[in-house]
Amino acid sequence: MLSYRDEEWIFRHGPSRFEVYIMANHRKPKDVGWSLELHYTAAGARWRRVREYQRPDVHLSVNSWHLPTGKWTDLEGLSFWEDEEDEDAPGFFFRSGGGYLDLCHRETPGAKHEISSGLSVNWQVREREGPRFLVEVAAGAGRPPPLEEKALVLTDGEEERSDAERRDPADFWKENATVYALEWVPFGKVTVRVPRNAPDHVAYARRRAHELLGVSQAPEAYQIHDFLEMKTGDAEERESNGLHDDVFVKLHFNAYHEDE
Amino acid sequence: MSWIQWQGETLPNTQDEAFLEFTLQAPDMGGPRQCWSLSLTHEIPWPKDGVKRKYRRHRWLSAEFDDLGVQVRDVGELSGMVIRSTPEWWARVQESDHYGHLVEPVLKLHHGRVSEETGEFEVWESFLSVEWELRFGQLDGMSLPCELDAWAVIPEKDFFRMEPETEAELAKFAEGEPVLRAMMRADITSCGVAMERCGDDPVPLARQRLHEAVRGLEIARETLFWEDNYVSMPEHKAVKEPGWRSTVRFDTWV
Repeated sequence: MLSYRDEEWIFRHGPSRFEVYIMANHRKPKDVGWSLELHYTAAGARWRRVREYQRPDVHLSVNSWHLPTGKWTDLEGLSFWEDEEDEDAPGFFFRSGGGYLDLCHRETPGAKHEISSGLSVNWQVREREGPRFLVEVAAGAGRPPPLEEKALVLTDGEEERSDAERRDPADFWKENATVYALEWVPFGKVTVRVPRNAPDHVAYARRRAHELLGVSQAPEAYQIHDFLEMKTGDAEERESNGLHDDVFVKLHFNAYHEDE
Repeated sequence: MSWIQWQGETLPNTQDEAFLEFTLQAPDMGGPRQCWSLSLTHEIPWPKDGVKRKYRRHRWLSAEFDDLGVQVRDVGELSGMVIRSTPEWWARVQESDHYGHLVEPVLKLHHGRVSEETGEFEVWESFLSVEWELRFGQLDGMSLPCELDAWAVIPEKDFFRMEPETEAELAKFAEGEPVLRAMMRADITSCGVAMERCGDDPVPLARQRLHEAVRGLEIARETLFWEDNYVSMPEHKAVKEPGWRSTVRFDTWV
């Protein structure tokens, strides 16, 4: 469920997932970069004659956060949720250690995407079911109002809780956040930067994923991106630089998504 | 028997039947659990005049739904079912499949006709419709009669547009006479059960899941297909191997 502007949205399975990036200099689990990717397309019968790829869409990416424990299952219980805003914080970038939100939105069919980067975001994992996690994401809500402290005392002397106290705290965010999402998301993709001279690129990538994320099962799919091969088809003709020295192995888990 | 009226013209009857196929998605996949597809091809043969021709059929019209947007617990629920693709119904069944593509029950029509003089195609056209009504009769074994009406059948090249439909356009559902009217028997021919990686013999679990998901299916045989392991690298070719994901197909006929 996404609440964003006045549109209704369909959650897109497949590309929506947790993603991990293991780079050459990542030595400990806390070095590894994580992101949460949520994709949506405009819902409703009125869009059925607009091609799917031209409809309004939203891509939320919560990135630049870390999972210090070295086990992907520890996503369960992860919370970067702050009801109180830090008065001294600049309002964006790394407010809570939970990374920041990039929001990419196309408002009308065929229009250019508008991108808002580095937004403050509250997010947490509410539940886990196997490889899927129920995530809650909220951004742009200001702060919740203080609870009403007045209590209603009934004639028998019993105190009745006020409406404000009875409400789920999440309701405030659902109703007031500029962006609010609640979705089941799988642990989906791990991209590993692998030295070109590694004897077996996939084995190297799987070993790194095991060491830094605790992933032991074989991936559903894996792909290698060799920028030298992609550019020229001949590795020898290309000038070497930092990017081209290595290859990138993508390991796909759970979501069974065919990548780009 | 297949009976079709297309753009006011009643085509000669044929013995064609429609195929109703069903896929049960793996439980670890996102999106709708069941996918029911329907396809009918009404093929009109050449007269039996002994003339050898380039194309096998004189004329044909096919109608297809990739996904009817139906979820049932018992195959008997199809008996008497009426699906009317109103905007409200559309919004209810619209979903993303496990790859992130939208499930939308658009009716696809293809019409072709070969010239008697030249022996070449004189008509080859495709249409799409979002205004249709499908009515199933009583289930008999694994077969049931069905009727399909479609309005606002739009050439494929004109179907897609850049503006959403207005409230007034959406309200104009099924006005006037249908452009397509079809009556045929639909046979439930096969059911595919997509399985996650669950060992070297996923068939017993697939059979159990199929019966739990949709009661009343009469299965005559089963076939296991391993999916390839989606390796996309020059030095590692994709292979189909036991233990990977699979699809178990259950046929209702031998």
